Order: sequence, then C-alpha cells, then structure tokens
Amino acid sequence: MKRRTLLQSALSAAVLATSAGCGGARSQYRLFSATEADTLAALLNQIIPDDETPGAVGANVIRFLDRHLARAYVGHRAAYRKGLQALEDSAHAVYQRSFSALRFEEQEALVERMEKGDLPAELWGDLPPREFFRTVRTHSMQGYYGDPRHGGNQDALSWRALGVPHPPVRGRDDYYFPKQGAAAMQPLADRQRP
Amino acid sequence: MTTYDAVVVGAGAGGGIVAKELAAAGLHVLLLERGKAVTPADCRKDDLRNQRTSALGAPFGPDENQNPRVIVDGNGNSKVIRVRDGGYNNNAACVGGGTQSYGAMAWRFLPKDFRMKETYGVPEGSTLDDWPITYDDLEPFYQMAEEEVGVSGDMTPDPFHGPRKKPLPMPPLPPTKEHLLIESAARRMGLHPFPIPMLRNSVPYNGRPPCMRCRWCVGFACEVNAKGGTQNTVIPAALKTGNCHLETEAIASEITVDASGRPNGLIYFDGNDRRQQVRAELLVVSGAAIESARLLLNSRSRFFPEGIGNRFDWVGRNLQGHTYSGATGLFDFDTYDDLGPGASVALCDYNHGNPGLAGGALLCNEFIRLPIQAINDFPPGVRGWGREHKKFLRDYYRRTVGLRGPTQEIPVFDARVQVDPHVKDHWGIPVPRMSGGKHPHTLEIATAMARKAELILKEAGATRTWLNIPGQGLSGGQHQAGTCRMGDDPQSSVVNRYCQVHGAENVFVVDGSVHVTNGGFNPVLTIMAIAYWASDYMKREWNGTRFRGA
Repeated sequence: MKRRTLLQSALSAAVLATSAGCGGARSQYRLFSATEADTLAALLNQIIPDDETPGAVGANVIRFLDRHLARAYVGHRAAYRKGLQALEDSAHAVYQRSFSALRFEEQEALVERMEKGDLPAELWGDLPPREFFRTVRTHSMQGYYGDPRHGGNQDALSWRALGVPHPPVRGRDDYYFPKQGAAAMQPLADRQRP
Repeated sequence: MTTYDAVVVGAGAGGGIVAKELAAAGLHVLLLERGKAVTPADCRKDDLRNQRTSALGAPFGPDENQNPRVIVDGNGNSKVIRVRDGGYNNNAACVGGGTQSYGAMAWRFLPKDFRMKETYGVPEGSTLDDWPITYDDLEPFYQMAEEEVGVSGDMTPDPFHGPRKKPLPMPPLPPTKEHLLIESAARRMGLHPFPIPMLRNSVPYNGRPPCMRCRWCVGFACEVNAKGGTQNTVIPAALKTGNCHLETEAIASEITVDASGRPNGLIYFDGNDRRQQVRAELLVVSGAAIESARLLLNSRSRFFPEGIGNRFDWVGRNLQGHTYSGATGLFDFDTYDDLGPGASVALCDYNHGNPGLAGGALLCNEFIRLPIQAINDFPPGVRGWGREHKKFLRDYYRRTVGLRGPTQEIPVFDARVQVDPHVKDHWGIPVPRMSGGKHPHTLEIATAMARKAELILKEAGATRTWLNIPGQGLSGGQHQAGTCRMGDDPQSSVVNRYCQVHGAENVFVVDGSVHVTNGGFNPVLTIMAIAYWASDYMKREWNGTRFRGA
C-alpha cells in the first residue's frame, strides 16, 4: 500500500469514527448508507408492505438487518452492498429513476423481475438477482415475524396481527417458579387457564 | 496416561445410556462430549436461535467456526459448509445430544421395520436388508427406555404396534384442538388414530414435573425439565455412581491401537485445545451417523489402513434420515389453541401394506408452529411475498393444520460419509465429506404418504390443501442413521448384532449409525433401546477387568 493511500484510509477511518457509524454521517445506521437505506426500505416495503398493519419498515426491519449484518448475517454483508447497488442501477436502467423514487407498481414489477432473475446481468456481476432476492426475503421475514428482542418486529406487531398471544405466558401461569430451580417446581392446582 | 475401563464418545441418546449402564455395573467410564452442557437459559425460547431455526445461531452446538463440513452436489462439485448452512445435516452437539432439544416422540419401530428385505424384496439400486435382530429381541430394552427416561402415551387404540409386555408408564397429555379434529376425521375413514407416545412427563415422574404445554418445545431445551432426555435422566445417574467422568468440549480425533493391532485408547482434544490421550479396554463410539463414521474412518493404522471397521468399505455408507412429506390444510375456523407441544395425534395405518410401495410412514400432526416457521408454507399460486403473502399469514396462521410423516428411506450405497482429503477442522482433523442422494422409490413412497395426509385433512374439513414433498437431495439431519450398518456378515456390514465392530471386538458403535433401516418413525427410542441392548452384552462379557467378548 502506498503511503498516500495509507494516509487517506487512516483519515477516512478517523472521519468515520467521529460520525454516527460505518453507514456515514448522514445515516442513522451502522452499516447502510443513507442511499442504501432508502433503496432497502423500498425493497422491504415490497416484500412486507404496509396494509392494515405496518409492514417491514414500520416494524424496524432495517434496524434488524443493520444489526445482524454485523453479527450472524455477516457473511451476507458484501451481497447487500452489491445487491442494493445493482437494484438501484437496474431501476435507473429500466425507468431512469432511483428505485426508491419509483411508484409502488413500478417497484413491484422490478422486484418480480429480480425474483425471476430477469434483470440486466451486467449490472449484477457474480451476484444472481434471484439469490439476492431470496436472501433479503428470508432475512426480512426473520426480522418481521421473529422475536422483537432481535430488533425487528417492533412491539410484536406481526405477532399481534397473526393472533399469537403475546407476551407468551401459556403454561408458565400453571407453574410456580421458586428460586430453588426447576427440580423444586410444582404445578399450581385448580388454577384457571387464561 | 489415564486408563479407563471404557471411553464413550458422545453424550447423546446412545452414549448417555451406555455410560450409565456401564458405570452402574462398576466400570470406570470416561464420557466425552464435543459440545457443552446447555440449559434452557442458553436458548431462552429464541425463535431465531434454536435447533429448528438457526438463523441467528445454533445454541446446541457445535461451534460455528470450528467445524466445517464438505458437501458434494449431484454434479460432483464440493463445497465447504458451516453449521447453519443448508446441507450441513447438523445434529445437536451438547450434553444430551439431540435429546436436549428434540420434540421427544418415543416410537418403537414395528416388527416389519426390522424385516424390510423379507417383506418387500430389494428395490433396484438399493442396499435394503433385514436387521440381524428382531423386534422381539429389542422389546425388553424398549421398555427399559420407556421406563427410565419416561414415556407418556396410550398405545391401546393402535392395532399395528408390536407386542408389548407393559403399557406406557404415563398417560398421554390431554388432546389439542388439532388432535380432536384429525382423530375424528381419521376414525370416520376407518383409520386408527391415537396419542403420540412422547419422552415427556404428563404427570410428575422420576422427580421431574409434567409438561407445562408451552409453545417452545421442539428445537428448544425444556424450561421445566418435563421433556426427558439423557441429560436429565441417565447421565446424572451415571455421574452419581461416582464411576463416570463427563468431559465436555472434548473432540475425539482417533482410536489408537497397540502393537498387535488391538484398539487400546483414544486421542482427543480437550476444551483448551490440548491433545490428550487415554487408554481404555472398551471404546464406544456414539457420535451419531456422520461423526461416528468420521471417527472410525480417521482411525487409520497399518492394521486398519482404511479406518477401523472399514475393511470392506461399508463405513459411512447408506447414510439416511427421513423424507418428511405430508400436506397442509386451511380451515375456515381457528385450529390453533396455543397448546404445546402441538404434535399430539398419530396413525400407523400407512407404515406398511401400501400396494406397490416398499414401506411407508407414520402420519401425525405437526408441532406447534411459531410464526417464523409458517412463512414458507403457503398454497401454490400464492406469491411468497408482498400484500398477498402478508394477508395470507394473517388470515390463516391460526387456521392451518399440517399432517406429515417420516417416510422410511430405501438405503442407497452411494449416500455416504467419507473424510475429506483436504479440509480439516479447527483441531486439524479431517472433516466429513457427504455425497449422494435419495433412492427414487423413497420419493414415490413420500408422495403417496402426502396424498394420504391430504385425504385426512379434507375429511377433517380443510377448505384447501396442498402437498409438501422434499427433493432428491441427501438425507440425514437429526434422524441420521445407517453409516455403520449392523449385520452378521462382516463383508456387508460394520458391526454385529451387539454393535461390536467386525474385526475390532472391543470397539462398539452405539447410535443410529447401526440402523439397517430407519423405520417410518422418529428413531430415538430405538437408539435408546439398542444402547440398553448393547450395554447388556458388554456387561455380560466384562470379567471385572477385561472385556472377553469376541
């Protein structure tokens, strides 16, 4: 590495360290830049849209992805970078506009093409659009329908929409949990089930 | 160097029982487990971090970064994969093994499951065979497992099971809504539904409380210890004898042999990655079908140039699991009652006697589904994302019933585990290399089973149904079996009827590896019964200091 490049990278590292996170000064996320977050939000709104209840964006699935791409999903980080850029480029190629600026129906048509793998191959390089779609779909479902403790599914809104009792107390009510641990537990007799 | 009477590798369903039986008989036993001792607090009912859905982690082990495997696809391309990747065929690595986090179904195989070749002949391209032992041989040992680990249920409405000397020690749990729905529909069709036998307390039993019927059962450790596994029954009993030492995070590397070629001990890596060597008179390999085969294959010497027990190239062959197929039905009323464990009603009408098919499967309703487990089960024609998918889940999450079964697989010689010539794990040990796929007839049976399930759902009032049938790919997973086949002929099997390796009399394989065929059932109770059966032989042949059996 040349000295000048080294200096530059040291400098940019210092800049990054003082900003909100790796996402850049304008971004509220650790990983996603503001532009990436806009593209991702529009994509998530296609996968799990708002209707009677909030969709993926309203349930904070972006925060969920931002958090877990630094942890359990870390192996997918590069794919997100590349895929979001390729989706944005595809929107420009097809509609001459940013993906997030397209109408809902236009976005939907583009996502359908992504799911089928029917987008300009030169924009996607070695990342097949179908594979990227599948990854984002799986991860966003995990964020939206998974446990709120992981950062998505805010206020357990998807569980409430499905009619899953929350907080999940079934069973525990029938037990008395003393401090001595499981071995000392006794079922409570004659207690009304909720 | 420390010397034990016996070293047992793997503290799961098989190894836990062998360790306890030998320790109680006075042998000094070292029980090695590559994972840790986990508690319910380690998975905390986390729907994204458990043995079923490992999206954010695999809390029951093994370590994600230290244990790669290699999978070979249908075109011969090999790929290094990690624990959470598809195709890894993970079986939990922790004290208790799979029994810590399983759904706990407690099936005895049927008498015909031990006589598949005699019953059906050998389908072309298959290694289907009979077991060298029968249901009657195992009956007393099934009963030991049912009583010591604890099974609840009621087999009386099921006319298909083999003869039993005693009823199950605990009554079944009260039925769920799905149970009543399926049960009455199946009865109307002339079938014979009954409560699923479970290694689960329905009443206080052996000092443990009954099931509290929570939603987090299969894939999770039980918060109240109502689910019985080796970790809360036989392993504590083994330790209590004072004769058994349990060492966790111990990675077995190879079985050693003495100057005459007799196996005499084991090399392993301890929790601090230090190489350890122990001597033992008896060596019991209980690492489940993939890891047990790997250990034998990695135990090479001039006496065993291709690995212990592998003189005729049978170690690692016939890898099989279960081909789960079935149907899903939608109802116009709520079928969800939030009562765990969910799986509750079964029928064995289709395990055998299906015209033109070499076997079948039990059918039962599914374990309670967490929302994350419902996202990929939708009818054909519904798009898997967008408004339609979201609305589908909202409308039908509480109105969906799944009925499925584990099709007994037709074994294939080329579905196999080898050790990879290049890829090594964190400790430098060659890793399993898995290749092959299912026999086409397995998928024919699975498809027929799915259609049977669909008919029952329709009779139960489902307004819409669809089939779930898996692909041709390699089977293994939690029900992995077959890689160290039991048989009388050393040229076409790895162990004899007592699980003793042909040509290495003091080495035993005690886990699903020895299954000749894997039944149309969850295999754990059979693994446990075989562990009692093999232990009984080891104890009989133990003269106080030496193992006599040959």
